[in-house]
Amino acid sequence: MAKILLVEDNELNRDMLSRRLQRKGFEVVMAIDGEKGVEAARTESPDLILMDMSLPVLDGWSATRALKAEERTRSIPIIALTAHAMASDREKALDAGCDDFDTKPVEWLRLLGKIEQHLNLSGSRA
Amino acid sequence: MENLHAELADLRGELERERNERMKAKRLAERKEEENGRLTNELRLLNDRLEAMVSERTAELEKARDEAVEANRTKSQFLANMSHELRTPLNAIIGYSEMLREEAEEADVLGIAEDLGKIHQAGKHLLTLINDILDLSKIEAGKMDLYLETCDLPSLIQDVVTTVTPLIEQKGNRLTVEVQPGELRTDVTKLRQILFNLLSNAGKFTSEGSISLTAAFGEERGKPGVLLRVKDTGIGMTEEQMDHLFQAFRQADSSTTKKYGGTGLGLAISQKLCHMLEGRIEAASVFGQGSTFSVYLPLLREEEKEAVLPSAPFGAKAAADTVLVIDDDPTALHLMQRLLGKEGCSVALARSGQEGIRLARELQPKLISLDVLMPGMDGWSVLAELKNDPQTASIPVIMISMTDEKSLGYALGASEFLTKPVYKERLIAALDKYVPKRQLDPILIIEDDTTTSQMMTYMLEREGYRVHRAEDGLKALDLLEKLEPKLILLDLMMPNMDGFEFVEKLRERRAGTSGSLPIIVLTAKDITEEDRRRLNGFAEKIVQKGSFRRELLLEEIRFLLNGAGQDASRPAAKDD
Repeated sequence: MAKILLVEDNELNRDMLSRRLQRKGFEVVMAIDGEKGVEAARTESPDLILMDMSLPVLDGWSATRALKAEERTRSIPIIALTAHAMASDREKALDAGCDDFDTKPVEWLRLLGKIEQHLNLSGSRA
Repeated sequence: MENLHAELADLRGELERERNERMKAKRLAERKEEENGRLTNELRLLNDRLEAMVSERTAELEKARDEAVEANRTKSQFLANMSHELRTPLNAIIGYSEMLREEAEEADVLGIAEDLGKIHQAGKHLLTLINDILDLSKIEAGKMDLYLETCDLPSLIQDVVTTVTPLIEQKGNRLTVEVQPGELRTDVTKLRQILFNLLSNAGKFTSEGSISLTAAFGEERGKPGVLLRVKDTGIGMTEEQMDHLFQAFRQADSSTTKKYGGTGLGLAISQKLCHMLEGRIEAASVFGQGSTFSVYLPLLREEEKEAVLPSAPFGAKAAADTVLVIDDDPTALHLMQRLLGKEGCSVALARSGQEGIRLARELQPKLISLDVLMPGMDGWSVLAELKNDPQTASIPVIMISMTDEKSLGYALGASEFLTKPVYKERLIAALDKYVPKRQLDPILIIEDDTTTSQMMTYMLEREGYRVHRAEDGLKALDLLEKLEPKLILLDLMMPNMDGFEFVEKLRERRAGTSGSLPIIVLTAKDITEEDRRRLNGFAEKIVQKGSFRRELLLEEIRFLLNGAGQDASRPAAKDD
């Protein structure tokens, strides 16, 4: 089953999302800030990354930029999680190289759909 | 005689009385005048005081107004922050309750699952309320940004209809939709929100009825736009209720909130969003029979930043060697622009697929570089559309992708396939193949006299050089931020910044950079020893205007452009 890296600083959100992803059969690895997220992406080689944007140490935008600049991690799809109605955040996320975005709080089924979509996409064309 | 005396005495008496009367009147007049003066004085004093009072009061009012405006902004800012803070714990409530409900359902603990469902629903309801408040306060605090993009009207409407249909069907209503096909440029999220608000309102206040949504392109006061109309057969509104329809926190009456739910913010937000999009919203209603809401939005013009056409600063032959770059990433666009600009191409940039297709048709570029991964319309769809249109089908396309999908690219008609990061050499190799005759040697003419600079331009363009012009040193320095000429023709006497100062500034700027930028000075001035000293080492040649021979100058330019200018042994600043 696919491995997902969840980069999220809020403990409750991290716990909740990871449990829900695990229940859907995903293997979940976690990081609590942007810097640890980049490290985990290198060492764990996840199939997909869920990235909160407002993270401590290194924010989600910078982390994404770093990952997309690196040969090894470039092809991992990144879904940005941004707050509601922040069009500028969304734009910034895509500019930084995120492949997709969804809002927080997550709409679970919609997020699942996006995860599946990106996993299929990268799976079939890899 | 006596009679005469008596008459005289009478007359005298009368005269005396009259005199007395006159005296009295005079005194009275004096008194009145005095009084008038006093009154005038008093009035003047009062007037002065009044003016002081008025200005004092005005200042007080101004202060109060400023304070009120500031307080309102602070309030909005507070609400925006607060709403943000509230959503974090809510996030956990919604997520955990939904997860636990799923678990309970799987474990067949249905009673608990149902209760958890209620928590989840209530959490989601609270979230929409908070989001509404957040939106409104963001609009009021001036923090709501517009994000304009081109979208397909029918798909946008379909999107909203899909979301809102369950809400409408809840009360046994039927929804009919009529949409005219076409594209518009707007803030998609905000238009979606407006439509969602109107449709969910219609659903809320109508039961067992019908709701219709129509969308059509049209014109209003000479401005093209789109008209959206939501009509229902619901409870309708009285005139009184219509009066405060678009006010925040005001529903038709306070019992409405209890009966129909909602914050009463939907219409206030919708109206504000319409205004942001330079449009308007109107309502018509018959109590007991239904309401109609009409939204008119003008088509917003393209913004400069969405499609830039640099590298052809003088509007001349823009399309000659144009390369169109389509990429959603501004950094990538920037990079390509610099790379291609250095290679002597005019570069047109598009930040989205739709924009790219439009520019391809309009500009007929020599070559298109197309990014595969873009939000909205991806590179594959853009490629397919370009190749399906006879107008653009023959333009070679270089696909640029994170992953290697050559076979798919070639199958769809791409001419070249490059993977990111794009290496300069590979891009130039591709360029050489498709835009072989591009002019590699841009020359910058810095000259304030239009006739001279036009003449020089004509002469150089005939020789196949790309020419850029600046009318003084200052403008030339600005231009040098964007383009890298291979040679400069410089006048000395110019307004704002003359040739001497320009040379000094350029020398400062280029200190430590490698590669040469030969300068030929063209001047009508008699060059003194001092002038020569100031230019020494930085002007390859000084040519007197009016006395130069065209052939010799062109030969000199060719010589310098062939790299001989880098030869340090060559004597600098020699005379013609």
